[in-house]
Order: sequence, then C-alpha cells, then structure tokens
Amino acid sequence: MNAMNLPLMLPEIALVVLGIVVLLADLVLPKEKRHLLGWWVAAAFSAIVVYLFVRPAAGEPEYAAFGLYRLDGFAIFMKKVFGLAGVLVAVMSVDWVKRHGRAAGEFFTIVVFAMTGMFLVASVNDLMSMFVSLELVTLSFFILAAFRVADRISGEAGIKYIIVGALAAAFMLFGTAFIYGATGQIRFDAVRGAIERLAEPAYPTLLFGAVTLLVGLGFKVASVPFHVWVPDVYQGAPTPVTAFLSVGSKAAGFVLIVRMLTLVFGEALSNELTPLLALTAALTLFYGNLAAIPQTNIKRLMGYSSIGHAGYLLLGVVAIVAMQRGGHSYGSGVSAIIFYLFAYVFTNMAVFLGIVAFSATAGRKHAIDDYAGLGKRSPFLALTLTVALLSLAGVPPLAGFFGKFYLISSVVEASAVAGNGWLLVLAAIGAVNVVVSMYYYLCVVKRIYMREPPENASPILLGAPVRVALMACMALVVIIGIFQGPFVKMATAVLATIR
Amino acid sequence: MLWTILLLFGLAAAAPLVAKFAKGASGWLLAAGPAAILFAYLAQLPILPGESRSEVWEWVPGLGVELRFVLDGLSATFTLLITGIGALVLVYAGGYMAGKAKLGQLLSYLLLFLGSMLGLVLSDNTIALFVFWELTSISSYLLIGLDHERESVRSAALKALLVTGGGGLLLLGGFVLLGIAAGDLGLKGADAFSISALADLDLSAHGLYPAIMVLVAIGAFTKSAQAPFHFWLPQAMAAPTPVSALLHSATMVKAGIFLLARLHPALGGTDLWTALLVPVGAVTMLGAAITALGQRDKKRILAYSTVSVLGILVTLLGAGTVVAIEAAVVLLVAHAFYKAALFMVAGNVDHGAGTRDVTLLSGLRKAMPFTFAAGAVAALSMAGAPPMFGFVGKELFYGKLVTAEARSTLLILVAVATNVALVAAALLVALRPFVGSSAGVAKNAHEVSAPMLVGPLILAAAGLFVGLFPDVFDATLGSAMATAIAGQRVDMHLALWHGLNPTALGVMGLSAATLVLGAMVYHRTRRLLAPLAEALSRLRAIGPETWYEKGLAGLVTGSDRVTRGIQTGYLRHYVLAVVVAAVVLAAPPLLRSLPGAAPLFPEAPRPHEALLVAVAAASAVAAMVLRSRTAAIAALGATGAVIAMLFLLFSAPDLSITQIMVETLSVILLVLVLSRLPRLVTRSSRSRRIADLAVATLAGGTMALLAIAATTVSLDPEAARFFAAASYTEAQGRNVVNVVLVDFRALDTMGEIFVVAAAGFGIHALLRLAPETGGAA
Repeated sequence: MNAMNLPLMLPEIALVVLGIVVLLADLVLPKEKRHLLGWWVAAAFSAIVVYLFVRPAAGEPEYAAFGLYRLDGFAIFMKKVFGLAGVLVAVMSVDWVKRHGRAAGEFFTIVVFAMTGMFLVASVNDLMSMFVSLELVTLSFFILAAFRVADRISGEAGIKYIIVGALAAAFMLFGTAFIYGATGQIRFDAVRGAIERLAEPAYPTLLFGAVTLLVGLGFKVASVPFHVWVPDVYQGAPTPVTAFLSVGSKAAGFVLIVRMLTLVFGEALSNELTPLLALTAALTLFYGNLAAIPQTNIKRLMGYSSIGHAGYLLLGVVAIVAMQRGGHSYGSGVSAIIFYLFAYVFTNMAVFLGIVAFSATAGRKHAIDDYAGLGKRSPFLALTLTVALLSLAGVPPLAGFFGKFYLISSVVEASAVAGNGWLLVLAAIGAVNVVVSMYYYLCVVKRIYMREPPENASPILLGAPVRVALMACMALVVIIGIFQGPFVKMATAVLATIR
Repeated sequence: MLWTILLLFGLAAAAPLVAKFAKGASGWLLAAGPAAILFAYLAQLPILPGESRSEVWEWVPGLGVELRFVLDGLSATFTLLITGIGALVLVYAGGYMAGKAKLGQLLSYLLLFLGSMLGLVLSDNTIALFVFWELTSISSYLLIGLDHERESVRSAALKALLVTGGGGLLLLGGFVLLGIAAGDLGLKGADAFSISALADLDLSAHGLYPAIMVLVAIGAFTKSAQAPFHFWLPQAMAAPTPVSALLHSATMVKAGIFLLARLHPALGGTDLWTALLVPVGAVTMLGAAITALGQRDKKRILAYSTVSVLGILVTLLGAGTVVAIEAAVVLLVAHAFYKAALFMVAGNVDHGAGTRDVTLLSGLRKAMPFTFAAGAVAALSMAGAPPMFGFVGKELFYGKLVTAEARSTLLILVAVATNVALVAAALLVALRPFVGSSAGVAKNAHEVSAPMLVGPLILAAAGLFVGLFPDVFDATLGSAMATAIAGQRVDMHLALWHGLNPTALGVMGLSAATLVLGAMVYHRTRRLLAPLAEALSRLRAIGPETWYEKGLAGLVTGSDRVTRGIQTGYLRHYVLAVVVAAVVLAAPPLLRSLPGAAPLFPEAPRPHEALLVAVAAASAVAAMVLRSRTAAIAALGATGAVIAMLFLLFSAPDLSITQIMVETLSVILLVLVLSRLPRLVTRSSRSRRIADLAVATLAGGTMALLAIAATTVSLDPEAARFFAAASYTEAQGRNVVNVVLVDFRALDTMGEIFVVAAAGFGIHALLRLAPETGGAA
C-alpha cells in the first residue's frame, strides 16, 4: 500500500494526457474540422476500455499513490461502464457540436476531464480524494450543462445546477470533515478501523458526518429532496450532456455510496441510517414516478424518470445497510446495484441516442408529441426507443425488469434477515411504482406507434455510427434480460472484490 | 419444449417479411408453425393421469429462476388449444386482413402472443411464469391497439394492459411471498419457485398464506376478467376479430383460470380459497350473462358471455371437489372451441354483411350458408344442447351443484339463471342474424373467403366430435388434466347419457328447463330483459370502470399538481428545500452530541468579548431588517469583521487575517452584484416571511449546534507533535507553519502556485477575449 505504483493509474494518466492533447489540437485544427475531435475522444475511450478488458483481472485489491487509490474488481467494472458510456456520449456529441459550432475543443476536453473524475471516483480510497474526484466530475458538468450560455434555458439550467450543487458540495465537505473529526483518519480502511474502536461520545459526530456526506451524495444521484436541480438541468442542458449526466453523475454517486457503506461505515451506523435511507428511497420513488406523468417534454420526462431510477437503486442501498446489522452478508444489495447500474446505463444511453438522433433531423423539438408517428418515420429508431423505454419501465424479460426484480428482492431478503417488517412495505412501494412508471413510458410508446406523424414529416435519418451505437445498446438491453447467466456471474465476481 | 416457444418468437420476428412477400398466402404459411407444434404435442398423447414430463434450462442462476417446463394433463390441454386455435386464427387473419397494410403486424403480434402464452402454460417456475404472463399482457396490448387511429381503441388497449399488467405485478408479489414461504418450509433455491414442488407442502398453515392467496387471486381475476376487474374485456372488443377469437376464447383470458388450476394442488382446499373464488365467480357469471343480453354488438354479446363462462369456471375451481374439477375441465375445453368459432362467425358476418349489430341483421342463412352452419353448431354447444361438448360440461356443472350440500341452493338458482341467459345469448348471436326476412342487410351480403371459413367449421366440428365421443377426450387428456388440477388421481368417465337415477334425472330436468327457459327468454322476454341490462349498464356509473377512469385521471391531475407545487422553477425554492431537508436529516445526531460537548463558557466572558459578540449579533439582526440593500450588506460585513476580531483575541492571527480578507471580498462582490439589481421592495407576504424566518432559524441553529459539536472532536495530536518536533531538527526552521508549507508539503505548495498561475492566465485570456465577442460569451 505504501508505494506510488504509477502503472496502476495508467487509464487516468492517459485520460489527463488525452484532455490536454484535445485542448491543444483544438488550437491547430481548422475550425470546420474541430468537431472531429469527438472521434478521437471516442477512439481513445474505446482503447482505454479495451485495455481494461485485457489487463489481468484484479484478484486482491491493488493500491497506488500511497493507498489513496484502490483498484479492485468493482473499480475496474465501473471504469468499463463509464468508459463505454463515454464512447456513446462522444458519438452522439459529434453531430451536436458540429451543429452548434462553438468551442468544440473545449467541449470534448471537459468531457474527458469529467471522465477522468469518474475514473478516479471508481478508485478513491480516502475522504479527500473522494471529494476532489467527485467535484472534478461535478464542476465539469456545471460547465457542460451551461455550454450553450447564450441559450436562456441552458444558462438558467447551469446557474441552478451550480448553486444547488455548491450547496451540496458544502454539505459533503462538512460531512468528510466531521468523519475525519470523529475518527482522526481519512483513508477508508483507517477510518473503518477507527470506527470499530470508536468511543461512545464521538458517535453522534460520526453520524452527523455520515448523514451530511450522504446528503451531498444524494445530490449527485438525484434523490428526493436533493433532486430539485434535475428536471431543469436535464431539460436545459445540451442533450448529449444530459445523457452523460444521467448516467455519469448518478453512477458516480452510487459507486461512492456503496464504497462508503461497505468499506467505511460497516455495521456501525446501520440502525440509524436504515430508516433515513428507506424514507428517502420511498419519497424518491414516489416523486420521480408521479411527477413524470404530467410531463410533456421528453428530456424533462427523462429527468424525472432518472429520479425514479435513483429511487430503485436506493432500494439496494437500503438492503445493504439493513443487512449489515448484526454483520449479515449484504451481498445481494450490492450485486443488485451493480446489475441495475449496468443495465440502466445502456438503456438510458439508448433513449438519449434516440433523442439526439431525432432532434438532429426534426429540429430542436423535444415535446413528447413531436414523437407522434415515429414508427413510420423511422421504424428502426422507433423500435430501439421502444425497447429501451419498456426496459426502463421494467417490462419482462428486458434488462430493466430483472434489475428491478433483483433490487426489490434484495429488500425483501433484507427484511427477512434484519427482521424489519417495514422493509416489506418499502418493497411493495417499489412494486407499485413499477406500475406507475409503466404508464408514462407507455404514453411515449403510444405516441411513437399509435399516432400519425404530422403532415409533411420527413423520415428521420440516422448516421451509421449512431445506428451502430443504438443497435449495440438495444442488443445489450435484450441480451442482459434473456441471457442472465454471464451478467449475474459478472456482478457476483465484482462483488467478491469489494470487501 | 423450449424450441416450440422459440419457434413462435422466431416466426413473430419473420412475419412482417413473410407478409411482404407472400401477401395473401402468409396466413397459411405462418400457420404451419403452430400447426407443426400442435402435431408435435399431439404425438406425445396420451398423457396418463399423474404423468408429467419436464425439461430444465438454467436462466437466472442464484435467484431461483429457471426455465423449467412441465408437460402434464393441464399444460398439454392448453398447449393443444393454443397451438390449434392459434393456427386456425392465423389462417383466418390472413383472410380477414387480406390486402391490408397491417397484415404483417397483426400476424407478428399474434405469433408473439402465441409464444408467450405457450411459455405461460408450460412454465413450472413461478417467476418464469410471471415473465410470460406479462409478455401476454404486452402482446395483447399491441393486438388490441392495432387499429390505433381511433382514440377509443387506444384507451381500450391501455386499459387492458394496465389492469392485467398491474394484476400481474400483484401476482409477482404473491409469487415472491410464496417463494419465501416455501423457503421457510424447507425448499431451497429454484425448488422454492417450482410449482410442482410446492404441491407437497402444507402452505395453508404458513403465516403468509392469506397474503399469497389474495395476491394470486387478484392476479388471476384481473387476467380472467372477474368482477370487479372485468371491465377491460368488453372494451377490448375494439380489437380486430381474429384477435378476439384468439385472446378471448382459449388463451389470454384463460390464463387466470389456468393459474388457479395450476396452483390448486398447492394453495387450494382451504376455506379462504373457496371464500375468495366462489362469490366472485358467482357474481361475475350472473351479472355478465344478463349484461350480455342487453348488447347489440355481436362481439360484445360474446365478450360478456365469455366473462360469464369465466365466472362459472372460477366458481367450479373455487368449489374444488372432484366433480367440480371435472366440470371445469370439460367446460373449459368446450368453451374454447365454441367461443373461438363464434368470434370468427361474428367476424364473417361483419365482413359479409357489413355490420355486427344483431338488431339489424337477419336472413343471412342463404347468403352465408357455411358461416351459418358453423355458427349454429357452435351455438348449440354454447347453449349446452345435446349432443355437444358444451352439454356434457353443463350436465357436470349441474351435477356438481345437485350433489353438493344444501347451501348451494342459491348457487343453483344463480347457475340456472346464468345458463338461461347464455342460451338466449347463443340464440341471439348464432340464430337471429341468419333466420327471418332477408330483406335488409342480407340483400347485399356475401359468403366470405375460404381462409375465414376453415377456422369456424373445424372448431365447430371439433366441439361436435368431442361431444359425441367424450371418452376419447378423457382417455387421452381429460383425466390427466383433472388429476393435475385436483392434485389427486381422477378418472373421468364422460358420457352424454348418465342412465336413469335420481341425480341424473334431476340434472337432466335442470338442463331441459334451462334450454326451454333460454328459448323463451330469447323469443318473448327480450324486451323485458333489455331494461334490466340497461339498469346494469347504468351501474357502470358507480362501477369499477368509473373508479379506473377517475383513478387514472386523478393520478394525472394529482401528480401534475404535486409537481407544480414542488418543482416551481424558482431557484430560491430549490435552495430552501435542500437546506431544510439537510437540516432535518442532520440535526438529530447533532442534538445527541450535545451532552458530550465541552462547556460553552469554561470561564465567564470578559466585558470586551461580550461587547463584541453583542455587536456581531446586532449587526446580523440589522442585516435582516434594514431596508437599504447597501446598508444590509455593510451590516453583514460588520458581523464578519467582529468575528475576525474575536479570532484575534483568541490568539489566531492567521485565521483572523483570512476571515478579514474573505469578508472584504464578499462584501465587495455582493455590492457589485446587488447594485445592478432593482430597488429593494417588500414583495413577500407576511406569512411567507415568517416561514423564511423559521427556516433561517432552523439552519442557523444547526450551524450553531455544529460549532458546539465540533468541540467534542478530539483530533489525533500526533501530526502536530511530529511537525513541532521535526521542524527544527529536520528542516532548520522555527516557524512551524512556514516549514510545513515550504518544506514538508513543498510539492503541494508548488502545485498550488501552478494552479494560481494557470487561473491568472485564464483570467487574462478571458479579459482579452471579452471585447471581441461583444460580451456574447
């Protein structure tokens, strides 16, 4: 643990270099070719993902930077997911950047830096680097969300995001400070050790630190009531950024929540955190899904839907915390979250790829009614969007259904293990919200297939790369659902490296 | 068995292409798939009572979900019905939609549905069964919504999906609880979700049994259109006729019946089982049968009569005796034959005569002789007239009631009334359009094409054949099916003629009376029944359909209102929400830490300290109440300055300097920003301000608590000791802070310098950039 061990951090180093190269290349490339930098970024991200796949799998966790950096199966897995999502974001950004012209180099540089932050988040092993890495992600997103400053909605979205985000970051910093105060340690394993020996008077301080830290993370994952920024930002930000945000910020937040609960807090805070998190999960589920119903803008709808999905993922978090009580194995909660995140990332990406492709031809139209008759205008796009939306709704046998099923059954299991009947109520709330969510996703599907396209509507044209990306996402959504074996084994293997 | 399901899904994917190239012949071509499967399963006959063949594929390891398929009497019967009727419906659909653009879509959805339904009846694993269950809901949504140009069709499709899909989720809940209960009773892993393994357990003693029973029953009721969830089915008649023939005769709506039959060995035989099923079934059968007579649309008459028969089946399964199960088996098969045939007949009449309104139709027998023949034979079965299979079923049904104990007198009355109404309904749909004067619509009517006649004729003939030779059925399938449902060996001996004994005579009397009364109702008293049906349909206003519609509308408007309330778009509301929530979440542990905090005033404050604190407090209050914005900012600055002085007094000059700088900077920034804003006027109401005050107090109080709680923290003094000891010996510096900055953490300091330098370059670049772009950045 006490070595710099730089080679371990090769992907991150490569990302930083990539960011600088892109920034410099922007200076020398002619203006009309700068959007092509997106392909560089996509290629580089792909190369990094390939590297992560071929590098020997981590058995025991490895450490770099004197223990600040931890590389285990979970970290590698999340980096693969982030990297693949990044490839998709880069692919869908190229066209957007070309159309909007300005500052292509800066756009992709910041995307690369956000990705660097996510990679670091997956590997952090101490409180300070956790804060810095996460804020690298968030700050990059602040800029990306407000990228079209001249646009009123994009600008407003950026401002709202920054102010609420700054508030949340302050809470998080308070949290880390108090955890440090209570334990005198910042490295995760050392904090864990200190918590196990913790003197009774310091306990409330630790709890306060943990709760405020979770408040800050709640902002990143968009859990109620720290979700307030989501609808406006999702609607206002450039669509590729919204796509990136919907998976990047959320996955990063959940990675850290899982890390904090499994590596740091352990059993110590289980009694206090279980009701808090269960309440948050219930509120998030209800609010995200109910508020999605009256929406008329597809990006805003996806914003609320992403709140709903945060609620589902929180079910897994509740399961972890509840099962830690009495030192039970909390494995099913973690593997459910891993499986769900994996399915969610690609499903959501498919939807946003579809939105970007649609608005590229149809003009900047994001009303759900604009999707009327899409089945006739582009059968392929309509099919992929439908499959993705049905998966988000949790329709069997698509990936989303099994994700939800795992999460809900992990809560049921936790209820049995911890002897907490309230958790069954929570599981029931999760199930009820599946029905609610089915309604609003189906309303979109209904428009796609059961309405006529507007007069003089042109067919939607898809570029080859977007087509390939959409096809890959759809294939994954279907395959994850139908051929469970390898993916469940993957989640279990990742889980084994986490402790 | 997996291959049969996959074959159907594969054909579903290929159907649009086939329809494109084969056009009119595509119905015949695609029907070869289910027909082949039909023969594959026919080759497995006979299935003996108690026999079951299974095959297992791993699906979701670790969760206990596997594709375990079981072929026993129950699933074999359903398999044959599904593939047989499915093949005929595909042929029929090829003729019905010939030349229409949506033919490919229709065939594809039909095959998708057939595959799902086949998976449902073959699955032994509850979770896999649920997956197929929801797939049938989804594909029936697509099928019902095929003619989506009309709003009524779209809402009917959505209604069917929400009711059956929602019921399906309750069912999943029931299955999960069932798995838990089975786990408690000793089943491990996938066995806990295996229906055939459940039968050996005594589940009724488990604490979860009532919850399981209610959830499973509601799931089955929604799918099989039992009151009060029946309302989606008549609406679903908006679907094209081939769809109704498939979904609403042998498949979709029978899924609920299938589930109850399948779970009867595991869950049945309790008072709760009977108490749930029999009343619901009885109410449904009578209510729906009477409502059927009040309809004018042939398809709606058939739809309500289907609901009624489903009610009878639920009642029989609820009773759960051997005779009842035999009756259910026969009725189920008979109903599948005649109802599919009658739906196709209705479609033919619609096609040939241009309407399905029974009050307009008459005299079609000459124009449409084959359709008439098929309809007449099927209607005889529906009416329960000998020698049809429907007659055998009704005899058994009455037989069950007559031999049961006395409490079923009411049930007998309900059953007879139901059957009387069904007889009348059968005459209404199959006789009335064909007899009488051929003056009206019949003049221009014509017989339909061959593909549309094959289905009804074969199905009607099948009903007749099984009615004439019922022992063929019980030897090959019937006994095995009844055994699978009853959970004990049942040997059926079906016959048209039961000999002369008191019971048989009683039953025959009831049968004859039913037929006569039904004919009378049809001929004479239809005018009397019409008001009754009207009254029933008026009940809709307070019925479940209205709840559904109000509930859906309420969900939409309610969620709209909640969203508008919370997601106002105002940043101040968002910040408010975040602050309040964070404080509410974080304050409790802080309060708990208070007892451990150091005493607030270890010694009495000196006068000048007290004075400073008072000034700070006063200027904070002033910042709130002052009307001038600049003055408020100045007051805020004063608070900060006083706090800096306090730091100085408590010997922390570096902190004090930092504080002064931060305060100065923020005052300048605030003045710069706020001076651009309009004049400060009071816009908020009094109550709003009181609420703001409360929030501010809460947040401020939390920060105060935080400051106090900070004193409980005892930091590890080791770092301080190390730097104090090492700064002189190792770095030759006496100022420890300086040594830390330039020596021990020199790399950090260098990094910081670079950051500051880079920021400087950035600002410089921005300043140079601004004039060029005219501030548009």
